[in-house]
Amino acid sequence: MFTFKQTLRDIARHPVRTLLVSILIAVLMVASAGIYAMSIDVRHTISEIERTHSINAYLLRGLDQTSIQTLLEQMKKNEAIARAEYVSPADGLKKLETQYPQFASVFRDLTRNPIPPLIRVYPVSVQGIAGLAAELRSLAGVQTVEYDEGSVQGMANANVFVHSLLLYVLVLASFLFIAGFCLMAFSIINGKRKETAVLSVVGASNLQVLLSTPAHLIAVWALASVLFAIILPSVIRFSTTRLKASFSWVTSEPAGVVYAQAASVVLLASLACLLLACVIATLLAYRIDEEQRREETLLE
Amino acid sequence: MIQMLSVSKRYEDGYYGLRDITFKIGPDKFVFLTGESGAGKSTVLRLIYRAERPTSGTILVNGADTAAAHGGSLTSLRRKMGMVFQDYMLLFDRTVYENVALPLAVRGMGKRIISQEVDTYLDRVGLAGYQRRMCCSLSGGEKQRVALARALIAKPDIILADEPTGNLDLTNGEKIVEVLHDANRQGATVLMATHDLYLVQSTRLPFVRLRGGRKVEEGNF
Repeated sequence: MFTFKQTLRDIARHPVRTLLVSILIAVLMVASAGIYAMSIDVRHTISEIERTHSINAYLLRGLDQTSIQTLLEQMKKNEAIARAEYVSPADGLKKLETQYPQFASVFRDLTRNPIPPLIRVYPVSVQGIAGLAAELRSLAGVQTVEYDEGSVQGMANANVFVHSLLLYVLVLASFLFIAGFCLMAFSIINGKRKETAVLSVVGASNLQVLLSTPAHLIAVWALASVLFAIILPSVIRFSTTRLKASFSWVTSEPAGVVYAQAASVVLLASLACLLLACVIATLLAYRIDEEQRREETLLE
Repeated sequence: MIQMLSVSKRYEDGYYGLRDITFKIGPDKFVFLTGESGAGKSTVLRLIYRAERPTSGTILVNGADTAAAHGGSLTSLRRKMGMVFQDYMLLFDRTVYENVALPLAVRGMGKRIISQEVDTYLDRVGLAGYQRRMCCSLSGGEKQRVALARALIAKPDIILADEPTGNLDLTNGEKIVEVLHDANRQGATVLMATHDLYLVQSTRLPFVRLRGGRKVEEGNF
């Protein structure tokens, strides 16, 4: 009870300092969570973009509908395939007419439909698309497969670059967050050294002495977490809005899911840092008497 | 009552802070611990309030061995003592009231009792009306009297004062000693470390004199 009251009094005694430290910790938490949320959005967007790439698996002419359906079902079961659709020769020709209306009369005058039946396959990821194409090519009933190799390679390269960049930013943000949090914690621990020493000489119990600094750290962290929970939704909303403006055709991840993931990861990380700071503060409080002795011996 | 029996203190670097110190301070006594800087006065006080343990020998406070005290027994040992330091050991970002109230607050006393006791003890050290003053704005003499009020407020059996007049002028020093005398008259055992021989001579109270970590003299002027 004494420790709790002392902590509240400490906060009331230095409201500006406490608020400033809490805001700084909250900003570090929000920055890290914001970057994490953006990384979720970027990864989601990349996977959506990847899904627009397709492989055309041209089938043998004269393949009966049962075999085509069996082939389609077989492809849909493949985990590397997100979606597969059958395009009949008639549908293929219609699409060509729509795509090139200036040649509509040419298409209409054809005596025989030159378009082969095909199954359009959308892979889950462009990574390993060559392997998937080879797999499809080996299926019975498939004559040949085609995909835009240049575009796929470009996408794969961009994908690797974006993921490396994200990893770099995340590592940097985590380092800044941990370093910033520890600096704040050490400044609080340092500011409480004298109080710890005084408490031990006025007859405070061991628990009161040892808990004095951790209680303050927990209070500041709790305040920072409240600020973090208030600010983070705005940051995520901003990020999602920017993403929707840039890629309107992409179905973005629900903001609630992104918020929950980013908030839980950063809160867990900050809790780990808090725990570490509390352990250090407790050990330091335990050693303060000894340090004082050394100082006095030096003075003598 | 404080008893030191063949107490030695050797630090990790091999330096002896104290060598074979033996003396006894009976209950309700006022004793000076005197000697030059580095004689070992602070070490004696730190051993008595168990900031550290002796390398050899025994220290008994009211019959209990201080070296064996830890956890709850260490807390109860320290609660029998009031400490005054040359550098005051006050929390300067707090008011006089908060500093003086601290020993009672850690004992879980109620707000009303604490308030009454703080008023009483501030009055006793001549600082009535100083409750709301910040400690950082006080003079050296006033700070030392706040430290004294804090040491006395929990009515300790023993008061250990480490050079409480060391930073003060003669007038303020005399006031501090007078308050300590007053506490002694009310039943507290007082052990005051000082290098001021004039003060020891003028009071004609018992003293223990140390030099280089050894006891060289014990008696009265």
